[in-house]
Amino acid sequence: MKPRIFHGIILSLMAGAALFYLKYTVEQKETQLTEMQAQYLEDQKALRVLKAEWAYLNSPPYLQELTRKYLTVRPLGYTQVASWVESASSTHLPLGPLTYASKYRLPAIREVAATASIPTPGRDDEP
Amino acid sequence: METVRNRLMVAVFLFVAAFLLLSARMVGLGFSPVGQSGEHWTRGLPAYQAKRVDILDRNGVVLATNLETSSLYADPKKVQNPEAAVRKLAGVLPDLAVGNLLARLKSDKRFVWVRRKLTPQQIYQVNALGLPGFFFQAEEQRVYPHGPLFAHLVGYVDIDGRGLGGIEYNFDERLKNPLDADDNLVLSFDVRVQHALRDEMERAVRIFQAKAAAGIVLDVNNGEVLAMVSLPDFDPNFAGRASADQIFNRATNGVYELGSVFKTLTVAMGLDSGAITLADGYDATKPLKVASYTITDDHPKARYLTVPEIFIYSSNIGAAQMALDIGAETQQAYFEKLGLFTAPFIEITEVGRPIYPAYWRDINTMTAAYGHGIAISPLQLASAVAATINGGYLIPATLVHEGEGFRMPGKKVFSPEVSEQMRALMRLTVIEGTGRQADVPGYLVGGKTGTAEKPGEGVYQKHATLSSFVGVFPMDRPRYLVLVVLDEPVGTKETFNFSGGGWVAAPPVGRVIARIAPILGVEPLANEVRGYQEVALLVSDIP
Repeated sequence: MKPRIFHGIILSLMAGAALFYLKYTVEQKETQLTEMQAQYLEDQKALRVLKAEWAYLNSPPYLQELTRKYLTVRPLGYTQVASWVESASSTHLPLGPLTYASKYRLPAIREVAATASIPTPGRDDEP
Repeated sequence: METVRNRLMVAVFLFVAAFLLLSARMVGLGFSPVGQSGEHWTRGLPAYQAKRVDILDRNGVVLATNLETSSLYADPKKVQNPEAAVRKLAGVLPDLAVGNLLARLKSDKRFVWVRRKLTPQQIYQVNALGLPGFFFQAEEQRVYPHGPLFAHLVGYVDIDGRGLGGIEYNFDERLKNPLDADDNLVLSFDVRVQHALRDEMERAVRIFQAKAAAGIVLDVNNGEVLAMVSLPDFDPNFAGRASADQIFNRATNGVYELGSVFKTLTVAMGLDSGAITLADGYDATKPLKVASYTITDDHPKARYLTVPEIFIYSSNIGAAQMALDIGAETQQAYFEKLGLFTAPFIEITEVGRPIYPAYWRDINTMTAAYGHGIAISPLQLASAVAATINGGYLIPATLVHEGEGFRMPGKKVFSPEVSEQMRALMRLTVIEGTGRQADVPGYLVGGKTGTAEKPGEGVYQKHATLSSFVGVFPMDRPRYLVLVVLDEPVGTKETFNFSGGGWVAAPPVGRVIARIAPILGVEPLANEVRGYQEVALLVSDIP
């Protein structure tokens, strides 16, 4: 008789402890989840600010100003654009010791390139 | 004794059974896979939903967005010593209306706005003051990262976030009630093209001291507006400080007598109706006298001119006679088909109604042929000119990007053959005619100049002009149209004091094309426009 009661008490204690532990863990996870959700919302807001800042810092007028100050790059000229297919299929490509750039450019474009100048916005011919 | 023991056993049995049940349930829960046993266990991530969705350009660049900010308010009942509080606040918020705020703080209200939408630094400073009775409320502020770049298009909002102009006004409900957080409004603009156009127009306005300017970059095949600029403009972040002159959208709301660019339409309707052919010509030896009016040429050749010559040298005398041959009814029917008698459809409400004579006499038919006596918006002109070269379709302009492959439903106005002839004519104008300064090697630019005398008090003013250029590229398979209109430009030494479209509006169009063509993926071509040589043969003074 006595051992049976003893076993019962032990079992109840263990079950109680396990239940308490489980509840405690769940509570902890709940807090964690709420915090993470709050953090997620904050991050989304921060992301919006960063996106707006990215758009602002990449705004073409601002980039142009920076380019004017620190770089010497100019707008892309038409002689710098060539289609690979066109160049490759062009049968009358002159052979010989050509530089890399002229080899992949259409002959007609090369011809115009020799005489034309490429306009640069906002720099030259200002009054 | 036996009874007591039995009762005790029953109680023990009940408790053990209950605990066993709980244990079994726990073990069961522990082994059950999450998600299957019930969706109500999982909790989704909360999505942040701004009060107004973002406006993006065609490449996803943010044009307008809502950012969280805080507004300062006060509960006058809880404010101790309002005088001291206001004094301290004025130190942080310099332009605070001190007297007004003090009066409101002494009233019996429980809620008084102190300042809406503070900067993060101001919020920090106000918090540091530690004033009792003052509180912050989270609000959202509409931010336009590109400043004045899209002022007239995207528009602006009031302090409570209600759209007041442009897209913000027209799509107010749609922006406030999106389908979900990612339901942003995507517009047809390209921020790079918009900047190139505005930059070059600003430069032209500066050099030629123009009063104002309007510009459009239009996709001639689907009606999408890639860029639209009206100068002077304003910063929509501070729209309250803008003057009425700055807010006025000259590209869509202003209607003007646009001058010789109309000859594009006159020649196209002449060819399409069969009234003229390219081989025809008219006598332009001397000014044309009609009733009390005299029609003169800006670039007089004083000889017989063929149709291509009338077009490329922009002869008013020739165009006026051409219009008479076309006939007033036919001319009006084509204007009607080109939508020049009604306000155009576009997704903003700032749209001007065209002005045209109620009764058309012969003189009206003749002046309309070269763009006088009928006032339309630059947007209408862009769409109409696009119809002459895109295969003959009038496609309404749109500001909303519907995705690749979308095309606004258009209606046929000209035949494809006429369209091809117009391409050659416009190309010829840039190679040999009045539009030479718009040429960009490699991109086959075509176009037409326009120099209109502005109507004054009853008479046209000789020296106040509206100079324009409409350019299209590449002319063998037109893709984009660039229109620039300058209001009252003044010629410089470099332009020999000329202020006509060919001198002041063609160069910026050429520069815009040189800048945007590589961005838009237009391949430089070595071939000339089809039919160009045949048309060139009809011009006698080409060496």
